[in-house]
Parts: sequence; C-alpha cells; structure tokens
Amino acid sequence: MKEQPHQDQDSSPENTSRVRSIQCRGCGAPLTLLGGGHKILSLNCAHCGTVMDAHKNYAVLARFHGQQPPFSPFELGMQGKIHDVPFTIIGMIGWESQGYAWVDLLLYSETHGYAWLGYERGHICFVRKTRHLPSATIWSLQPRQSVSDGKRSYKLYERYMADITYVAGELTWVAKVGDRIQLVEAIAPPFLLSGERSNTETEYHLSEYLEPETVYRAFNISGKTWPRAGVHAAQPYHGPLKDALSRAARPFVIISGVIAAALWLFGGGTRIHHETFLPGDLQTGRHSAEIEITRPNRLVALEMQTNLRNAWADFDIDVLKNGEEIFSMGKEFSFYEGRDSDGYWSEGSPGARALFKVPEPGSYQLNIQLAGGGTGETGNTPPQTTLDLTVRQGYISSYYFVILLIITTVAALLGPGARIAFERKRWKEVDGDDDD
Amino acid sequence: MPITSDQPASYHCPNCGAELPLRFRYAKMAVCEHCDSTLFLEDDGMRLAGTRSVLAAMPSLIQLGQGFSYDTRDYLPVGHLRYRYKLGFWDEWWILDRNGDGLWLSVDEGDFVFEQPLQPERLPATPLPGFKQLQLNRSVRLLEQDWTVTERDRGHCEGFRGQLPARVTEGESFFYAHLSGPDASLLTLEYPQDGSVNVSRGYWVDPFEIRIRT
Repeated sequence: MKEQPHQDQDSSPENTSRVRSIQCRGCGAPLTLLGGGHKILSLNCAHCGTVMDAHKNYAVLARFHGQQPPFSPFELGMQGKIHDVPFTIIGMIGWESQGYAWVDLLLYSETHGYAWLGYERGHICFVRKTRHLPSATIWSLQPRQSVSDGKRSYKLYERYMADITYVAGELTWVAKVGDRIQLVEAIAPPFLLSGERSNTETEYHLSEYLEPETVYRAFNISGKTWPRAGVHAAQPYHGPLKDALSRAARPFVIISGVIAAALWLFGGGTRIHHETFLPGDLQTGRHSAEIEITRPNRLVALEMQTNLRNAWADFDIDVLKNGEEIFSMGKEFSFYEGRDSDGYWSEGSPGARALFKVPEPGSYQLNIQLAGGGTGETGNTPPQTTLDLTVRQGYISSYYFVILLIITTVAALLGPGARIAFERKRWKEVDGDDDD
Repeated sequence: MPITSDQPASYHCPNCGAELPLRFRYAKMAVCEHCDSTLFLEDDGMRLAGTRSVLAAMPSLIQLGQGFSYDTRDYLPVGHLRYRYKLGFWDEWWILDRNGDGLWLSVDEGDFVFEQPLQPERLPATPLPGFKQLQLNRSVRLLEQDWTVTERDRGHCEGFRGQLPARVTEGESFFYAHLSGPDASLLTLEYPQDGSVNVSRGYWVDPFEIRIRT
C-alpha cells in the first residue's frame, strides 16, 4: 500500500483532523483515513474486506471476500454532534444473531475519544465503554433479575451470541468477519448496560437510547425516514398526551369518587312511607295510603321489592293528588336464576327504583296495578307476587357522578395502561427465551 | 470563585523579567508564559534551567488556565505534561481545587482519570512489586484491594507547560503499569530511572460529566 501525498481536507471548522487517503493493500481502492486517533489498530477495506494493521504500515492481517454491507442510514466520514460533542463516523461493524442484524458505527471525537452509534431496525443508541462494572453474576442472572453498576440498578434483559458479518473503516481492535462474542444486556431505559465476552477479554458498555430523528438531524440525514420496528430494549416509554391526560384526570377521579360515595351513603333521602301490596291488590290495582310530601321539586324515590323468581311483571304506577292522576309510569321487573354446568346464575333483579318530582307539597297517593307478566321462559300468566313499597323524599342520585367516575377512571388509566402495553412489547421477545 | 493560593509573592522570570504569578504554594517548576523558559523553583528563589519546552497544540477538552467542574467540584488546570508511549501520547494536567490542593488529570483520547499521588506513609510496608512482575491481566493485591494489570508500557516526556509540583525533564522516560480495580478505580505505578516507585491512586471519570467554565 502506498501513501498518497497528504491532502488536508478540513471539512468543517470543528474538524481539525488531517484527512488523508491511502490505497487498500488488497484491491487498491482509495481509502480515506478519517483521523481516528492513535488507538486505531485496524483499517478495514469496505470494498474487498481486507483487514490492515494501522500500526504496522497497514500490513494485511486478513481478507474476507464477498462481505455484504448491512443497511444503515449512516456512512463512514459522516459528522454530527451528540450531546454537543462533534463526532466523526470512522468505522463500521455488522452483526447478526438469531436472524436479527444490526450495525455498530465507531465514532471518534478529538476531545471525548471513542464511542459507538448502534443502529438496529430504526432504533439508535449512543454507546460508550464504561468503567463502572457490574457484578460478574450478571452472566448468570435470569430475565428481570436486578444488577447494579454502582450508579443505577438494571434489570437483566437477555443473553445471546453474535457474529460479525461485516467490517469497514477504522477500528480500535482487529475485528474479523466470523468473530463470535457472547453478550449480556441489562436495562434501565433509556440506558442499557451490556457485557461483551470474547475468547480474550470481557468489556462493558453503557448505551443510551436516542430519538432517531434527533440523530438524523445531527448527522444531516434528511429526506427518507426509517420507521422503528417493535420496541427496543432500551427505548423509554414516550406517551406525553396519554400521560398528561392521566395526570389531569386523577383529581377528578378522586372528586367524583368521593361525591359518588357520599351520595350513595348519605343521599338516600328521608323515608316517609312504607307499604306492602298483596298479589290480589296488584291484580286489581289499589291506591296506597296518603303520602305526605313536604319537599317539592326534589327527587322522590320509590323503592320497590317483589318476590318474583323466574318470572317477569310489568306494573303501571300512577301518582294521584286529590284522587286525580297527575302522571303515570311503567316499571318492569324480571328475575331469573338457576344452575348449569358452570354453577349458579342469575339475571335481572326482583327490585327496582323509580324517581319522580312533584311540583308542590301536599298529600299524594300511588295507584299500582299489575299490567302484565309471565312465569318461566315462555309462560304468559301474570305471576303471583307481593310488592314492598318504600317512599323517600329528598333523594339525590349519584348516577351522573358514577358516570363521571367511570370516564375519569378510564382516562386516568390510559397512561399507565399504555405504559404496561409498551413494557409487554419490550419484554415479549425475551420472556420465556433462555437460550443460554 | 477564582482559585487562588496563599503564595505570598510573585516571582519574575530571570530570563525575560516578566512577572510569574504562581498559582499554588508548592510549585517546583514553571514555564514562563512569555519566553517559554523553564524555571526550577527553589527555597531562595528560582533558577533558570535553560531549556525551553514547546508543546504542539492539540485539540483538548482541558485547557491551561480554563476552569472546569466535575461532580460539583471546581478545578483549574495550572500545569500540563505530555508523554509519548507506544500507541501515541497522553496528557497529564496538574489541576487545583478550590482549596489550592492539587491532583493529576490524565487524558488519553477520551479516557480521563483523576489521580492523587500517594505519600510514602500511605504505601504498604512490604516492597512494591517490580515492573517485570506486573504482567498484563495478572491479579495483584495492594493497599488491601485486588487489582488487575490492564496496561503496562514506557512513557517519554514530550514537554510541559505551566506550573508543576515536581521537577520534570523533557525526554526523561519511565515504565508504568495501570492496575484496574472495582468502582472505576485505578492504581498507577511509575518506575523512574532512579530506582524509585511512584504510586498514584484515582478513578476514571466520564468526560461528558466535565463542565467547562466559559
């Protein structure tokens, strides 16, 4: 390989490195030296797969013909800022494991050293070597078991083997196609602690999940977007609208719940009358005794209880003042029960409540008459039943607050529910998967 | 708060006469900012060492005289050494905290380490291991802790700037070994040519957590 005359190509004011071009010792293709620092040990030709020793005049270490470049929106030489630090992409490694493929891009900063950008199915992580090591037990933990690196606690995600399928550019070690490593990953989104174990060493890295759009903008990648597939192990849940809605709904859940409970406990009104109608009374219809209502324009509740069993009945109820009907209503009762292979079952209720208001205080009567009914599944003979009637005035219905409670509870659970569904997707691929 | 010391007086460069305000009390060596003369500081004044030290400007997060903070503490770099080794070079910065106490910040392509020289009384009574005993990946028990030898090489002084707590000679070399311990700790053993052993203890720091004061 011959070095060409130096060509200083400062591509940006922040790039002070001297970019040179050399010829590959394998195929003669021009290779750009991206100024990756003195820890670069190998230069890898993307064209022919030749691996060269960066510290021994680019002597050929290995050749891997026919390597196919994996897909990635990034290219060698691209520059961009991550956490306000300018980086250059100087190397690339393609990986494969159990049908999944991903790309690690080696980044170099003259002030902050080396880092990686991991790209997998539209997800991007910023990866750096960490000196805060977890306990060696990380290699034997089960999914979801905890491990700490001294700075934060992680949950073990998965262990697997991975093979190198592609190498290009400058790397801080001699990577070869076919090299295999064992990996272990533990997560504390947006962070992922990973251990990589090869035949010669064990290293640990800390990944931070980055929003892909942010990285694309930083590296001036515009136009086409690459949708994210599934949920990445380190991807943080992001549902600002649902979370905001849930937060906003929480006080209303409490308020409507307290009010509904208070009304249920104390809103039953005052009992002003009780009377029992016998079957004969109901067959022919009968007036009740005089009922003194002192609080007009407030709800009056008729609480009625029959002894219907496997029967239904329809009652006409008239409200009378001075013997004159001022209005009427119908009320149907239906109650069926039995046993089958699943056990006891029941349907409907032998009791019911009816509400009405009167315009002025005074003495009122009720006329109640059985209008129709039947027994069994098909019978149409009106059933024999009694009817216990209790009248309360000043009744306050909790109905609307119960509806509000239901609606606000659903809204309050929206955020946590979405988060749970997101976590299920995250763990779906590893739950029950113990390939080690 | 600017980092200052109770150094009673400033000196003047014996070569060019420029004022040489000292940043810290125990400076043993300084490079005149005006004429690049190397000066040895002695009890009764300073002596012109006669050599000049010029370091090539390289991109660096740490700059001489520019304060920075890490983990809620403020530091000021006042001295700068550069060493060459097999792969390239690394920089050593002598930094002062708010109290004027100094420590070393070692920087090698994004690998940052704070290190404090250990005084002889803190070293074990038993002899320290020789450089040849510290083979890569070998486990060593020192200072009541287990360490692993993760790097061993030879460093050559390329030059220096600013004010330093010890005399350094351009071109001098020494062997060194890095021993890695738990919780990002690091022990460095240096073997100068005079047969002594210098021990420093410190820890790795994340450059992304260093905040440069502007």
